Amino acid sequence: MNRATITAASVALLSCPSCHQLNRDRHLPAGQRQRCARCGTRLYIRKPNSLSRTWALTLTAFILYIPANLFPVMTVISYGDGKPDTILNGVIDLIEAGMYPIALLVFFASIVVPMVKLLSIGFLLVSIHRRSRWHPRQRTVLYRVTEYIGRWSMLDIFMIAILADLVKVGAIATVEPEIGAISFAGVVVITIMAARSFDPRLIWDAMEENP
Amino acid sequence: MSDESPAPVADGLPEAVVDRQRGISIIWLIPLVAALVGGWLAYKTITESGPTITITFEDASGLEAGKTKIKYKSVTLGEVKKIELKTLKSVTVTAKIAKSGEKFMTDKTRFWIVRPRIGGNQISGLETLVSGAYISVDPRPGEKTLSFIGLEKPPGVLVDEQGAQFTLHAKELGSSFPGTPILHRGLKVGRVVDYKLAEDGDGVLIDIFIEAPYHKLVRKNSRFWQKSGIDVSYGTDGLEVNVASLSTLITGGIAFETPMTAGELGEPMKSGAVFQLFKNYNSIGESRYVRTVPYLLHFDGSMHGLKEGAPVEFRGIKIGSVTSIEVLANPVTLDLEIPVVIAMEPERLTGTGIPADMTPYDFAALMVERGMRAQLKTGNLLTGQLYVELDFHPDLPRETMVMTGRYPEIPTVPATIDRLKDNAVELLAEIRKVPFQRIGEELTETLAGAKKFANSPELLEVVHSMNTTLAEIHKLTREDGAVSRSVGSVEALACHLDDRVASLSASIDKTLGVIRDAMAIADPDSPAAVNLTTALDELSTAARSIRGLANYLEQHPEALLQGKKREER
Repeated sequence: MNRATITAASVALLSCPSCHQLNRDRHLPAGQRQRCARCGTRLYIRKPNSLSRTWALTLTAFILYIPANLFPVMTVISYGDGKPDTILNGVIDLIEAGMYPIALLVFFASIVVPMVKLLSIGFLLVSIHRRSRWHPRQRTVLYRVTEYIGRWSMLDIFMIAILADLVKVGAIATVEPEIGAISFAGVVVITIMAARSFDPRLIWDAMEENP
Repeated sequence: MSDESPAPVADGLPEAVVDRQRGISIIWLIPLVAALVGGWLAYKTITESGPTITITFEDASGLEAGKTKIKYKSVTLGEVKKIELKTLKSVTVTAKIAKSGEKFMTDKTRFWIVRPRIGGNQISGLETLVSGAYISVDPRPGEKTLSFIGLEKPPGVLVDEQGAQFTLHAKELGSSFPGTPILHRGLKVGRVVDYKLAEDGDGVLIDIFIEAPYHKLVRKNSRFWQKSGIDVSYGTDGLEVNVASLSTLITGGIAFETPMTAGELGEPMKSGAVFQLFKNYNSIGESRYVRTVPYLLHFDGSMHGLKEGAPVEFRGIKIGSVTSIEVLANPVTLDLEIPVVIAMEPERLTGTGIPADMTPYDFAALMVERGMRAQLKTGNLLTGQLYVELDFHPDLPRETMVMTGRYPEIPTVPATIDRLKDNAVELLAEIRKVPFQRIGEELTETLAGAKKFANSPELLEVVHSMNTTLAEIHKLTREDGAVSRSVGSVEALACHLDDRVASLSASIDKTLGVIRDAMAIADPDSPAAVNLTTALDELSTAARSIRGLANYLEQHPEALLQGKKREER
């Protein structure tokens, strides 16, 4: 790890997260902020309160994940008959209808992905608290993947929003969003926020400390 | 940390202690709110969730786990969660009931599957063709329970229906099906709920429901009968066809009425009362009474013409019927006897003031002491059918009702027919004594005498001489002096005629005497003579009416086809 001993922080430089311009750290007292000299983006050595924010948001997402899966996300009423469906029910209905690829897609996008995201963020947070030196590179990959796939889970919410708005044919067919959809949207949005508030540079900080 | 220090001047001074930000970041409000919301949702879900129940059905066709609803008055009370085959005979349906439905889950509550049903008079559950079957519930107060046995068909009466339920006992089901209307004066006041074979297999029990407020019209003496839609009767008024309403024509119906009665108007009946259902309106009078009390009768003489089922009447009103006639050997007296068992219908006796604890037997014993006796009577002279007549004979010696054999015995008096028969035999013997042959012979003789006289040459001679006389008189009127001669001649003729007439009248006298003798033999007061007179009278009356008819027909031959026209006034 000798090559990596020199970091921007160790030489009192701040890298701009937007334009990657190196700025010299002014070591300002708390309460004052520094901006990139070139593009004006706010600069930090590390994102402020990154860990506690990420923890709070991850916990929120965990809490919301429970109602998102237990409560129905929408009610489809066709010919006067309908029932509220949870995400899992929807998957089962799709399987019963023989639409396996779509069922698989929904299952992954709506159940597996949010869970995987929450677990990976949780894992990263725990590893940083423990100052783990375990495969920092792979953990960074994990973070990248988490941040990247997070937005795709909003697909469900968009679909429900569109259906609820478009399918209003009275008694023949109506789609109503239910409380599960709100929880699910909360899970997705808050997970994205948690991923963003996490500073992956913290993963590498542990490597600088000499064991 | 080899770095350019911005303040290398104050090297010896201690560094300020950095006051790290303590306390909880505001970001933690987010999970707190989420936890509160989640907790509230969980609390709501738990408090709003009702019990899970199981219902056993014979057949679960149309049910779908997770889809089928449990509804009451179209309001969803729960949902089927699971359908299992626990045994090969029944299907167990597990359902989640909403909190609001929890209090209805009692042992009296009934569940059934609503499917499209098409019957003779009703089509129901059509909405389930589109929406699929659902389970309907009829909640009733009772003990709390969580497992139920579902009905296979909808219950006839729901909990919110006001009215009363009765049972009708019928010989045959006829056209009564669930839903068949109950009519009162042509108005639909109820319906048939269910039917089943009576437990003893003797007849059918039909459950009916009469809606409020009409159920108060059902009284103790109400009569129910089946309405077939078309009634065809042929009587003195000619052919009569009664057609009921079209719906009744198709589905049939049951009608009831509460007759006017001289006795008490019965109390309105409570739910559960049993009535008899008659085949039609006319059969009401025949077998209105269900309860029968048997009695024993012993008659002397022939039982010819008495059949099982023959009526037992009191002054012409039927109060029972003969149920059995047997020939029994009496081992003590070595005699054959014919005990007749009659079944009296005590319900036909209505009256107030009879003590409630008085049994029909007590009552009958009292009547027997007052002189009630049974007697065989001829119901039909042509066929010789007999019936049993009960009446009071206070002049007869007192007797009491005794228990002989299985039933109490009502004493009897000999049949009137037997006495009549004896009289008739005597009468016939009297009539046989009349010498009809001699009367006939003498009548023939008389007639022969009369004929001989009419053909006698003397009469011819008389006529001849009268002719001559007239000619002479004629001549006389022309010739003077001949009159006196003629008068003399007439006188002589008169004398001659006198003789002849005398002999003729004597002959008639003799004939009359003979006839009088014949008449004297047949007593004018004897039944034969009276009957003869009556018969002749009747004959002449008949002849008169035939004449009248003939006259009328002559004037109105069309009456043969059109009937007699009403006279215009």
